[in-house]
Amino acid sequence: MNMESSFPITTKTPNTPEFTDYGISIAIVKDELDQYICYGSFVTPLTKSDLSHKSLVLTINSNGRFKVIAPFKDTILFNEDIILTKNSKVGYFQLNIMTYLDITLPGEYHTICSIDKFLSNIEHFNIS
Amino acid sequence: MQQPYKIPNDCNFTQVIESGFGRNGSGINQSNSCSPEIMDLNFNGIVINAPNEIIFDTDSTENNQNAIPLCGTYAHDMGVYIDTKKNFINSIIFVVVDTKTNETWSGQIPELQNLARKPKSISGDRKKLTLEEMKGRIIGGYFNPNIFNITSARLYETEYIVYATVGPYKSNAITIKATKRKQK
Repeated sequence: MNMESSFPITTKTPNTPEFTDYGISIAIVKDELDQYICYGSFVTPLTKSDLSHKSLVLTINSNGRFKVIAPFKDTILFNEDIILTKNSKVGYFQLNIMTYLDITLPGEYHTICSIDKFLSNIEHFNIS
Repeated sequence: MQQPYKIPNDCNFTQVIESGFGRNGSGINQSNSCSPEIMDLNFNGIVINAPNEIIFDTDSTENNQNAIPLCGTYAHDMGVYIDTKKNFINSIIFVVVDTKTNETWSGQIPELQNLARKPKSISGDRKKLTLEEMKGRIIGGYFNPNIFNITSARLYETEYIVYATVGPYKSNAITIKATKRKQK
């Protein structure tokens, strides 16, 4: 799937991992433009009322270099970006990893996302 | 299921601060009463411990004033590929998040000469081991830096989330509440 925007996106796609427990999950997929896209979803308790995409933190590391950012921190979000269920808040996201790298060097890259105390799985990909 | 590690939540973090955070100010490979204990010898990863609350008078964090010690223990299978030219301990990325503003800060323990030697091969020479040869060889250690010395995090009334990650490893996440002392 071609991610047309380099901006963070809050929609669900067939690549988006899905789960029911509280937490955050990610999957990295290389698109047809050779961009590595991080697809993710999070489920947080309703009691954590202030949690949203803005609380999401992305960490990328490779060969001793790293980048830590909050991709949605300064973006405008809408109420529909968060789905409220009986017990939880659910959100989806797509991040073009390449837009957050200052320089792209060959190597193995590891990526993790977090929201509040929830840490995602770590996904890796190779750039050769 | 039993946790593969034990975190001494009720330990005395003041002692860690008073010790100057151990050798070279980041306590590399020095354990203390706040260091998480690995119970399962097969455990691979990073575990951290930090005070759940800091009460401060001024927001200065210079010269270890209002320090937040981050006591960690790690176990790393050398057969797990970490693509880095640094020592494992200096490759760990520490992430601090302000849960109120979503501001993030990050950093690593700076590399100092002669702190940790690169492992020798089985035969004792300097031949570089292959990943296959290193599989199952666990190296472990400790670290105790002051969060404010390794990241550019600022101190003010908020709640921080702190965790560590490197390569395929991630630590537990800790919440630290920062409260300004009420003036009498």
